[in-house]
Amino acid sequence: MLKKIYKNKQAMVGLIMIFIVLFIAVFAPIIAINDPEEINPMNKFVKTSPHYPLGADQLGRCVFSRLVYGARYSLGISIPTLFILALISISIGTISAYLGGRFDDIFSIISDIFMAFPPLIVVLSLVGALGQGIRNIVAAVVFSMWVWFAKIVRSFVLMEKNKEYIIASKIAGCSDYKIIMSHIIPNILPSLIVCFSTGIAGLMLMISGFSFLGLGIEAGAAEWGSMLSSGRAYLYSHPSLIVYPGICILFTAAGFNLFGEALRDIISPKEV
Amino acid sequence: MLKVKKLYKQYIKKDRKGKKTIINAVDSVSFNLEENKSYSLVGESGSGKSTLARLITYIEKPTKGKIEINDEDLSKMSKKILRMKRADFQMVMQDGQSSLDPRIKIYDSIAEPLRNFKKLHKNEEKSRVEELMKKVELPLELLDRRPYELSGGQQKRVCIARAISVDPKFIVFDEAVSGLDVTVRKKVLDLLLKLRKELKSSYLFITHDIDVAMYMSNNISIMKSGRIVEEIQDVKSFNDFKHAYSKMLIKSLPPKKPCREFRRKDVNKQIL
Amino acid sequence: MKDILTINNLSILLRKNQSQIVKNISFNLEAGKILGIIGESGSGKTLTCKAIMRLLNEKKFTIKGSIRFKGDDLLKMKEGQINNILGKDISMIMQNPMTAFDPMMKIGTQIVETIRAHTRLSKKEAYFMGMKELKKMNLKGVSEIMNSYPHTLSGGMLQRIMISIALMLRPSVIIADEATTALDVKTQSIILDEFNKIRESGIGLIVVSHDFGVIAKVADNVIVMKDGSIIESSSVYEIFENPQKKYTKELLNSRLLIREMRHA
Repeated sequence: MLKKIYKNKQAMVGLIMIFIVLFIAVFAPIIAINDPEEINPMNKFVKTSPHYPLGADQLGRCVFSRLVYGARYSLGISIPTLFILALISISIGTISAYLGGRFDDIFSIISDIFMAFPPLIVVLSLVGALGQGIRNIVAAVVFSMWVWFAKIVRSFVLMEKNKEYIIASKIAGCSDYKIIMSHIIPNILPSLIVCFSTGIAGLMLMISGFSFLGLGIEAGAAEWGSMLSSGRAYLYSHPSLIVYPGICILFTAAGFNLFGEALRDIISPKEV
Repeated sequence: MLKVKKLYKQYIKKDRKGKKTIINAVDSVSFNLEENKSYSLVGESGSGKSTLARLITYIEKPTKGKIEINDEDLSKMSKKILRMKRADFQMVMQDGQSSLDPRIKIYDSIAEPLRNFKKLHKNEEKSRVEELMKKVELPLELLDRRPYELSGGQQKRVCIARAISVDPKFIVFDEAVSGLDVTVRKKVLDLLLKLRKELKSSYLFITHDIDVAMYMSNNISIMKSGRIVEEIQDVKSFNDFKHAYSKMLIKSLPPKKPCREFRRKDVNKQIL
Repeated sequence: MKDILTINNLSILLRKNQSQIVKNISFNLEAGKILGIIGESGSGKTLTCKAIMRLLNEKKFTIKGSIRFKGDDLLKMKEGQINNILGKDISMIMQNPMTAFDPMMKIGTQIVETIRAHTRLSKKEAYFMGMKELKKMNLKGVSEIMNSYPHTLSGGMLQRIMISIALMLRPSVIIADEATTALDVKTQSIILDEFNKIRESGIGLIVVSHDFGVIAKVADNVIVMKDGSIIESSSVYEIFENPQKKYTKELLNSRLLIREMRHA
C-alpha cells in the first residue's frame, strides 16, 4: 500500500500539503517573525513590509505570525479530537457489530437518537452549558460526532464478520478477542484510515466554523476561524484580513481531502 | 463418536403481509458417525446441508436437538471449553480463497490453529508447519506468499493443512471440492483419501455431486429440504439407491459418454 | 451447414508486457450446432468469449485476427454497428447469474428494459412477451417471478431467466460461459436439456466448460484449450473414443475415474 501511495500523484500532493502544514505548526516559533499576540496600535493595518510580511490587523498584530500559529490550533485540536473519536467509535462500533443481538439493538436505538440532532445544535448547546475552552469544544465535537463514525465502523465490521475466513478462524480455535484484534480490525483498517482521513478535513472546518461563531476558542486567539470572524468587519477596507486565513483553511482541508480520496481510490478494487 | 439426535434449525420468515412462517432448514436429522470411517452427505443447494455442517461444527446453534461428541453434549459446554474442544472437529469450507485471511501469510494461516490449541515452541511450530506442507504436497516456498497469490487448488490444500494440523477426530468437508477444475479436484480428492489413512480420523463429506460422494465413501446419506431421505451403508453402485429423489439425482448426472439417443429423443419428450 | 461465426487466428495480448494469453486460435460455429470449449482455469476460454462479445478493455488487451459474424468482422466494426449485433444477434450467458442482474431492480423491469433496448415494443407488450418466454423455460409462478428482486430467487432460476432473456431477442449465436458450473446437478441437467432444445431451433451455441460431462451431454464439436492454444479439436464422439493428446486423456480420466475406479 505504501508503494501505491508513493506512486499516486494525488495522494502525494495531499501528503505534501499535510506535511507543509504540519511543519509550520511544529516549527511555528521559529517561522513566525513576531509574537502573534503582540498588540501594537501604532502598526494598525500596516501594509506588507519586511517586518510584517503580510501586514498587520486591526490591533496591529502580525498577520503572518498569527497564521503560522493558527496551524497549531487547527491541527492541535482536530487531530486529538480525531484520535478520541476513532478510539471511541472503533471500540463501540466493533463490539456492537460483532456481538450483535440485543447489544446491537441498543446501540442502534442510541445512535438513531443521536443522529436525529444535527451536530451543530448539539455542540451549540453543549458549549453553552459547559462554557468556552478548547477542552470543552473537543468534548462537544466528540460527543456530537462519535455515532456517525461508530455507525461506519459498525457497517465495516458487519461486512467483514460474515466472511468465511472468520468462520474458519473460529474453527481454528481463535477466541472472539483474537478474531477481532488479529483478523477483523487489521482487515478493515485501510477502509477506516480512508474514512478518518477524509473526516479530519470536516472536523477542521467544523472547529474553524465554531470559532468563527465565537464558540469554543476565546475571542482574539490566533485561530483561522476566529481571524476570519474578526476580519469580517473590515471586509471592504482590508479584504486581505479574511482572504489569508480563508486560504489557509482551504489549503489544509484540501490537503486532507485529496489524500483521503486518493487513499480510497487505492484501496478500492479496480476493474480488470 | 459423534451422535446427532433430532437436530432442528428453524428460521422465521415473514411474508409481505407480515405473516410469520417457520422454515425448517434442518428438520429432525439424526445420525451417528463412528471413528475412523468416512461418510458422505448429498443434497442440492438449499437442502440444508451447509446449515447442517455449521450446526455440527457448532458455528451456529441448533434450535432443538442434541450433538454429542464422545458422549459429551456440546450445548452444555462453556464457551472456553467448547473452543478448546474444536480441535477435535474441524471443517474445510467451499471457497479456499475466502476461507483464508487475505492479509496473512500462508505460514501464519497454517500455524494459527497450532498456536491456539497446542502451545508449541517456535522451532517446533516451524517444523510442524513444514511437515504439514509436505503432507498436503505443497512446496515450502509458498509459506511466504499470501492467499491471493495461490491457485485454487493450492488454497484448498492450505485449508486442508489447517484442518489436519491439530489431529482432529473428524473433519467436515462442506462442498470442499466444488469450484475446482476437474484435474485439480481429482488430485485433491486423492490427497484426502491418502490423508485419511494416515490420520485415522472420520470424514463427513458434504457435496451436491453424488459422483464425488461415492468416490469418497460408501456410507451415503441423501438430504432433501432439511431431511435425510435415504441412508445407505456400503454402497456398491448407483443401483443401490431406492428413494425416488436419489434416483432423480443420479439421472441428472451428466452422461459418461456422448450418445445420440439421449440427446434428441429424451430431450424432446421432456420438454414438449 | 452454414457457418455463422468464424474465428481466424485470434490472438489476445496483454498490452502491458505483450505476453500472449490466447495464441492464434481459429474455429467456426455452425448454425444449429453446439460447439463445446473445454479447458481449465487459465486456459483462455473465458477471454476468447469476452473477445467475441467485445467485452475486453482495449486499453489493456491487444486483439489480433478476425471474428467474422455472418461474414462481417466484429473487430473492425464501429461502436454503433457493434451494439446492434451484440446482445441481439450474439448474446452471452455468464457463470454467475447473481452478478448479471441489477440487485435493486425487479426481474420484470429488467426484462422489459432489455427487450425494449433492442425492439420497438411498448412496455406492456414487452412485459407480456417476457412472461410468455419465461413460461417456455418451465418456470413456475411466472407473474410472481416478474415481481421479485434477484436475491429472492435461486441461482438455477436466475440462470434460466438469463437464458430466456437471451432467447427473447432471437439471437443467432449464444455463448454460455460456464453457465452451469455454479449450479447443482439437477438444475444443470435442466439447463443442458434447454440447450439441446435451443439447438433444434437453429441457433448456434458455444458452451464453455471445464467438465467433460457437460460437453458429452450437449456438444457436437469440441475444442480443447490449454494455456491459450487449441490443442485438439474434433467431433464429440471422436474426442471421447479416441483422444489424441495426453492432456485430453488426463481431463477425461479425472472425470471418469470418479465413477469407475472408486475404492480400488
